[in-house]
Amino acid sequence: MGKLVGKRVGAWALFLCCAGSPVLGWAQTAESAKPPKPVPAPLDDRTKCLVRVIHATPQGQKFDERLGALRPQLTRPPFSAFSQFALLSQHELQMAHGQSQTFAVPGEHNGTLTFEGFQGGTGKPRIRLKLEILDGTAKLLSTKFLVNSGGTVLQAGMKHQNGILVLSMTCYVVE
Amino acid sequence: MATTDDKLSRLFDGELPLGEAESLRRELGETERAKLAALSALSQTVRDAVRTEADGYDLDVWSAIEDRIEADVPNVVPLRRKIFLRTTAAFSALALAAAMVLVFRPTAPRPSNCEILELEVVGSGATVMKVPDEHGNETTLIWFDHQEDDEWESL
Repeated sequence: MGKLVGKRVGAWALFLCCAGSPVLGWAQTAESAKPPKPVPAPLDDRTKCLVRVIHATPQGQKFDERLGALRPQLTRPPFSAFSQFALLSQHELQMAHGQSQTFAVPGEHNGTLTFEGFQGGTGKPRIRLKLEILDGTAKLLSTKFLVNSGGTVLQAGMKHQNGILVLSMTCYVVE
Repeated sequence: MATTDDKLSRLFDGELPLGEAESLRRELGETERAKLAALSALSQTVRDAVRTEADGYDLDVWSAIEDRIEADVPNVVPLRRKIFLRTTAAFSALALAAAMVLVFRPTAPRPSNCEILELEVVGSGATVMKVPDEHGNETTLIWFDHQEDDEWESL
């Protein structure tokens, strides 16, 4: 008798899941179909960037496991000419509006990342940054870009020890 | 007429055909009647002894049988309900799997949607390109083909 009751309860529980899943799916679809709401600028006007300095070489077959998140990009052209990727260093930079942070780049260079503020609109706030690669006080590269929170920008091509350097910058809005 | 003990015993037990039994009863002598009486007395004595012995025990046969029936009742489910239960369980399992896929579906990496606003380099120049991943998202790459021994001047 008890077994029978248990089976009935189990069947009803599963039936409720059955009935609930389309509702759940509808709720998710409805959520994604909503028009984007204007997003206010983050209260704390700060950004956090993870800068990875990577050495790519055409010799060797090792792929640094710490670069797993970048594997989809690093195994496609133009990086498919390189077979070995090593993480030389990584820097976590946190910047307030207008603030710059410097990180070391092999070859006696320096990189400077400047947070120039958020750019709002109807979607999520985008991060406006300036990257400079310096040799002493001389600029080799200077660029300004906008990127989504959590998005990654790559810079590559500087020759280094039979390979090239790849800089990966992934930036987030600090909530 | 002499009657064998076997025939007497069969008569006593009621195993003889009716006609033969009646005929035999009419022909019984004094000795055979005494033997029948002795058999009857013995039988009564045995029955009495068994009843006396049985009365010493609290013998409730029905209750014992009833208990067994309750304990051994098989889990009988009507066929229609069984099919309903199985069908419901199968559909529910499928629905649960679909719900799990909806809730825990692998999320693609966030697209960077990067926009290059300015770019200045020294040397032979730079190229901006998009590197796609397996989710169809594109990552912006600034390719700066700078040689360490390049002649350059500051921007």
